[in-house]
Amino acid sequence: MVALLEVEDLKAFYGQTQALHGVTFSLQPGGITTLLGANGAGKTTTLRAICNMVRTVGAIRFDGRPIEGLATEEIVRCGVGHVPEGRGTFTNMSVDENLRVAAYTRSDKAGVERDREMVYEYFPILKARLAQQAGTLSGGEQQMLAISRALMLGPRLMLLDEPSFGLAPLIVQEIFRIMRRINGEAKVGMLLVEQNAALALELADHAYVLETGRIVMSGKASDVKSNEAIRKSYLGY
Amino acid sequence: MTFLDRRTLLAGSGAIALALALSPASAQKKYDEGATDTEIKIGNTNPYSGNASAYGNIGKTIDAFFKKVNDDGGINGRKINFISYDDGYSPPKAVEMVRKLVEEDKVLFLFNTLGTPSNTAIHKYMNQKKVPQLFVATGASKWGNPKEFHWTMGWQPDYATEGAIYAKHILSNVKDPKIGILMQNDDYGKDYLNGFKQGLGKDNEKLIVELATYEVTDPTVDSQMIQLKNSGANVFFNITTPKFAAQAIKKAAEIGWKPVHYLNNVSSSFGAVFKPAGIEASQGIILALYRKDPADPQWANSPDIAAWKAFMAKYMPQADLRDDSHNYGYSVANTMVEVLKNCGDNLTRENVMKQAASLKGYEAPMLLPGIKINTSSTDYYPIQAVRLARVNGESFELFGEVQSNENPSQ
Amino acid sequence: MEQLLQQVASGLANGAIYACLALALVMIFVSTDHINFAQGELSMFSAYLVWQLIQWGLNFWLALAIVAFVSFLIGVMVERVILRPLHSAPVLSIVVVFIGLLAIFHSLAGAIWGHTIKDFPSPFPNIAFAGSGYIGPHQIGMILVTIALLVALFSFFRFTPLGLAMRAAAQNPASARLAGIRVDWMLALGWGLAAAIGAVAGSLVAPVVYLEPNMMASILLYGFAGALVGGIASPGGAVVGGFIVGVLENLIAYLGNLLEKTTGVYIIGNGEKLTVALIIVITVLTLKPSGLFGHVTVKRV
Repeated sequence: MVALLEVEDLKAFYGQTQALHGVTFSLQPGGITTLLGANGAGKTTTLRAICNMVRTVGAIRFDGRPIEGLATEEIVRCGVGHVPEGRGTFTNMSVDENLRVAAYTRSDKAGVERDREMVYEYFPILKARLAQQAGTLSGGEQQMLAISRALMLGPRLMLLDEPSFGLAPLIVQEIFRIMRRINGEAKVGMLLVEQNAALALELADHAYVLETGRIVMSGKASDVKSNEAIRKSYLGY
Repeated sequence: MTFLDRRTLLAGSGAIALALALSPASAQKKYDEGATDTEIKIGNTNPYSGNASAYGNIGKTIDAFFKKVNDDGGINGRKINFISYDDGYSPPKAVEMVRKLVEEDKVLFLFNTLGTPSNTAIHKYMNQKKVPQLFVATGASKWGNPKEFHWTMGWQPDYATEGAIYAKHILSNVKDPKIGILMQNDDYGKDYLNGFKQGLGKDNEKLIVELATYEVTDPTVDSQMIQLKNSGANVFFNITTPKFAAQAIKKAAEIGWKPVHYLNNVSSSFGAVFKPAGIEASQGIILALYRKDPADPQWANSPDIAAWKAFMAKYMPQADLRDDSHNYGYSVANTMVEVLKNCGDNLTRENVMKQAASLKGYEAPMLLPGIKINTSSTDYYPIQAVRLARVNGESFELFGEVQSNENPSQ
Repeated sequence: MEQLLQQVASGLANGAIYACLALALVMIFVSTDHINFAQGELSMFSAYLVWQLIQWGLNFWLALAIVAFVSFLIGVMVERVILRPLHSAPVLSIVVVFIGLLAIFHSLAGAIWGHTIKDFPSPFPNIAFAGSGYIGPHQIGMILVTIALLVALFSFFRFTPLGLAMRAAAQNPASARLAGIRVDWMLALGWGLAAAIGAVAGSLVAPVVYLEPNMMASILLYGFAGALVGGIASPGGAVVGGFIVGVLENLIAYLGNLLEKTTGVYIIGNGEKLTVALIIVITVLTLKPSGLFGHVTVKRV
């Protein structure tokens, strides 16, 4: 079976500073993989590198097709839904408009309609807030909107950058529960970046651990979770 | 050998020195910087670029005319070297260019530098340097003040004189006049207004029932025209530049205001004012003219117009003949050549000024019949006469006598 | 009273001029987040093109349609060729580019068509109607076209996916890319549309103020005032703002003159119209920075 995403010897740079030093990993279709590591380890950079949002060297294949060097919007159009750090909400637009913008690339009306319904089912609160200006939503609601926007693309892979950031534990639980449902029902592969390793390992089936721009460890989520040495030295819990 | 000759001898080149030494007749020749046996250097600034670059055609016409003079043998055997720089209608730029002309190019004098702001900026400098600033291309009234500014002289009728002429015409021709004025709110507008009030006289100033001003930044003068109409004025004195003149004429017609309409000479153009405003709406407008309109059939056979047309055909074949700048430039350049001819071989700055102030009854080409240039050491206003005309069809119908104001209004 | 009505009507007519240009300004702002100082000169240049086509015998509307399309292409070109390399440049550099563009189009028009004012035909029939003493047919036509443009723009931005995508690209380019929007093209498209609206604005303004290279200079100032009062991010606000500025400047002068007539005290008059209009703009922006009709952006983290 062809891997959904293959990353080989990926290097990324912010100006003169190198943030990734040759990262290699792959994702199987339909699974949830998490990238763990301390602050500054290069987790967000990895997601941004996949979407060509930083200067990047290395090979990236999506569904067997090389996508490195493509413009961000073209990579997105291949079926990569990126839920960015900070959620990337269009704050001046209504919730409804945010969702419509998200489906901008799609021409299958019926499919878009179906995905709308699906989003409403996952996040009923958004349906109630359709006319509201997105900037006035609560943090949790904005995160739901961000995930919904990625879903409206009809993606085969979702890149999720710290969906738990700044949210109350109850809301985080709710969101993670729905992410699991999405993964199962919508058959969307997920690459999840999290500070909260315990939470991420609950959800994911495979984990990579990054340290200062390099992968130092990988394995099944359950193995990583049960390995106390790794938890202590890399994950801090 | 006089002192002056010795100075010339010391300053002059070897060739001139030799010529002076060999020929006793040359003792009559007197030169200041910028003049030699073969050349007269004349300086000028014009807006060849920027918003006012339409006026740059004046400089181009003068240049072309001096070429023609040179082709015909020059003036008393000397060729004119006309140095004209672009000032973009910007006073600081004009100052810079004029300093270059005076201090580096060492011109004998400046001729027809253009624009009230630019000429104001160099006014003091020229008089300190004692370099003539002759026949400036502006109608402000301040150029005719020989007591304080011996080295500066205007040419065209000044705005104040023209304003006074309209006022007098109103007083003697309109019964029970109530006057509304539209005025550009700057020195040009105020110059006209002051002359106009002077023409009315103290007692009659109350005849002005409404004074509406506009700024050059105003997009339209519609609001002012409504204000004027509602003042009940039956006479309209329109002190505006072409664009606003056209707007005012058009708006007056639109709102059905039909006063006796006096328009300043600044906007006496069919191409730039009456056609855009609408020929019908322009009928009957009264204005003061001092030059012939070459497009007017009544001058078709006059020799100066024919000469001008021949000159334009040969030296400026690409030019738009309806552009008044060519007419103006030709006329003023002719005046300059007349002065230089009168200078003979005495090309000192003092003598150029003296000859410019000694024109008597000179009829420069393009001037209307009966209008003559007169100057003296106390009269630095060369043209002070105009003829009133009214817009009739697509030409000007002259009426009445030559109106002049030979006592300069200050 | 008669005069008051006339001044208001004339203010509305002027307001339509400002509103029309303000729309083009809003268009660029909404789609690129820039304030285009060269908008006036672009409109002026387009108006010259329309004039030229009419001289060659074309009908006004056909000429306008062609020029609107050509202007669209010019706008797209300006963005792709001139502004593209400056994407990450500081705002000041972009302002300098706008001023450069302004100078270029200004001198180009002057060099090609000269500086003498030109008569520009009105596309609307010159007929008398009830109230035509207050406001001319061209002015009515201009107001209607402005409102039609507004409705079209409003619908475009609100209801079409392309309009939404353009707004998204302007608001948050990174996020827009993540929605698969080709942001670079959206910016170019915004420029093109603004140039096309500018062509309409220029061609409607020219019959009133006459065609000349300077014709838009002062109108741009008032257009800005209108756009800022109404909210530079809101097409509807900009149009209402344009009308407000147009009526206010006339009323200010009218009341000032009235006061001077009745009391002999001169406080304000025709000379202070622009000043007072700008004071109003500043006041509005101080009290409500997003303009009267602008949405306040609320951000919660």
